[in-house]
Amino acid sequence: MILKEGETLCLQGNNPHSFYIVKSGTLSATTKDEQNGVQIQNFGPGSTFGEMSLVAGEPLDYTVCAEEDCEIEVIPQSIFHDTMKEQPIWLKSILSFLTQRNHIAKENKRKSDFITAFPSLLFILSKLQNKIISLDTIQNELRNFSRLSAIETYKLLGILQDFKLVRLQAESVSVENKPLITILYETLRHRAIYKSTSSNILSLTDQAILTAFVKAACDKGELQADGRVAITTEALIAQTKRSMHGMSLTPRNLESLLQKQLLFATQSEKYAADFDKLLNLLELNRIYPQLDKKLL
Amino acid sequence: MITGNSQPRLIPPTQLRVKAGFVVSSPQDEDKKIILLNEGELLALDPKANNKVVFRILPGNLVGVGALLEREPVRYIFQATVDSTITIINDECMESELKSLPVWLLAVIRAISSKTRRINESIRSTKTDNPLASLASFCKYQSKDEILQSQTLLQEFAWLTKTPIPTATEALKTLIRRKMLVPQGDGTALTVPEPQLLGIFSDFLKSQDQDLPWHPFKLSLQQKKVLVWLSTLEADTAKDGSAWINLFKEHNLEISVADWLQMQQFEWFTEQENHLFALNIDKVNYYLLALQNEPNIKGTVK
Repeated sequence: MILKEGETLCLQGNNPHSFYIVKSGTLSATTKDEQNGVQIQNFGPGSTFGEMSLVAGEPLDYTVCAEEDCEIEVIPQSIFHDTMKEQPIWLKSILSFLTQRNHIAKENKRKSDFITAFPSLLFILSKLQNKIISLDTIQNELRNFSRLSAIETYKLLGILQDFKLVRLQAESVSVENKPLITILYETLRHRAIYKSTSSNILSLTDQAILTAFVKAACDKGELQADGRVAITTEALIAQTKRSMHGMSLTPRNLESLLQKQLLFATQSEKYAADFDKLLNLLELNRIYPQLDKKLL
Repeated sequence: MITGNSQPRLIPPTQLRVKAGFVVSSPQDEDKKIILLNEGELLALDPKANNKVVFRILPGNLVGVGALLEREPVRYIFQATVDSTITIINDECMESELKSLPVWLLAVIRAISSKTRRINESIRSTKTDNPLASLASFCKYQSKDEILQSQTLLQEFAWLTKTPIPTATEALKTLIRRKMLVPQGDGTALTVPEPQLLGIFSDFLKSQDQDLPWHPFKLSLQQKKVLVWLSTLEADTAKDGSAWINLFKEHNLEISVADWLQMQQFEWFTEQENHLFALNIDKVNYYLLALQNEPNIKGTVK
């Protein structure tokens, strides 16, 4: 096949069901990721492409154009099928195995890119000042840390929306809970860098006590001068008993919360806490176990 | 004796009947082979986990392709659970078969195989094209003059971008050389004196990577004068186009219509309703900071 300079051989997304071997000349392959046309490679003499289109009927990842006059050998699917009929059965199995392995590798890469971009997205959202951020800004900033496509970025933002951390709008994102985004990022960062669970992740008992504190505070909380909300010890004990199926609150139960400075004992037989911080921490502990499943 | 037969000799695969419990392949085997199960069942056992069953191989399935074609290490022991029939394709057999294939089919097999290898490598590789630009972007988000531990900063950046620590360390040294990061104490800590400058530097590197002109360093002398004057104005000052041009004139800053259009392209002004143009002081300061640090950004530190 002869291709004149400037002629297009095939378009990204089309499926020519053929394999190409460049005999002479140079072709350019460009791929488009949403808005950006990016030249990815040149095919010179001896180069080949289209193997997955031939074997698995996959569409091409790029548009191929002749940079100069080219001679190309085209192997259509009919020749491939006829040739394979003459080969031993095990060779077909090997080829199908290789194809399957290629699919698995692509899927693994997609998943890996998706998962590894998640902390970067949280980092960016926790650092950008505005509440409303354009999708373009997010994508441009994320490009500094990841090669995730705009579509995949939108999917990640969708996960954050499910957790009510952001709200997606037509061309922008409204950051609904920046403090929670920040502590979620810090929790993931701690796990990755120190290989241990962050102190933000609470035991079930701690979560139950804090939940009881929040409920009691909603009913009988008193706002203190330092901005914390306080409840009486009796109110906390009574609420814990109700919430934890009759379990009695002991000083030992409270120890870790006092140590972590999530609860503070006041001089007037009360317990106080930063109410917003508690709500975010409890929400973090609700969504954290769901993260891996959501991302996968 | 010369037979005149130039066709490569085909070495057929070996057919074997094996009893239940027979180990057909293990990581210790020196010869790599593909095993195709014709009848029966094989188990893949993990020798590193007390021979725990990892998966079952059913008739028609094959194992060992990666080991034979890609020289990947064999991870599992393959053992027959019942009397089974297998086909073994070893190195010689595969080589003779590949030699008999049409060149294009061989190229197809190699292309799929190498593409898969490249994808797998890219999963482990860094997620950024330019680690220096990426680190600069990361540092622009740090608080001005806050003491940061270099090692922690690098670890966090490496975690986000999968950049190897040595590469990230080199990028960090470059930012220190360009005075965009300042070492503190014994050098294990540092501060960011001007976070916005790191963002500007990152933008400059990215435009260079893409062979795009970078406007802050392409300004004419007159545009630079206008920029300095604009930086003294109140943010959000809004006027229509001709009022702005007249104002420049009053301050001995005569500009052409082309200059005016370019300034809009530079985003020094944002168009509002009623054809008013509001001064975008953030963008003006961005250009000014870039010009003030031109040698550092270009890498010709004074």
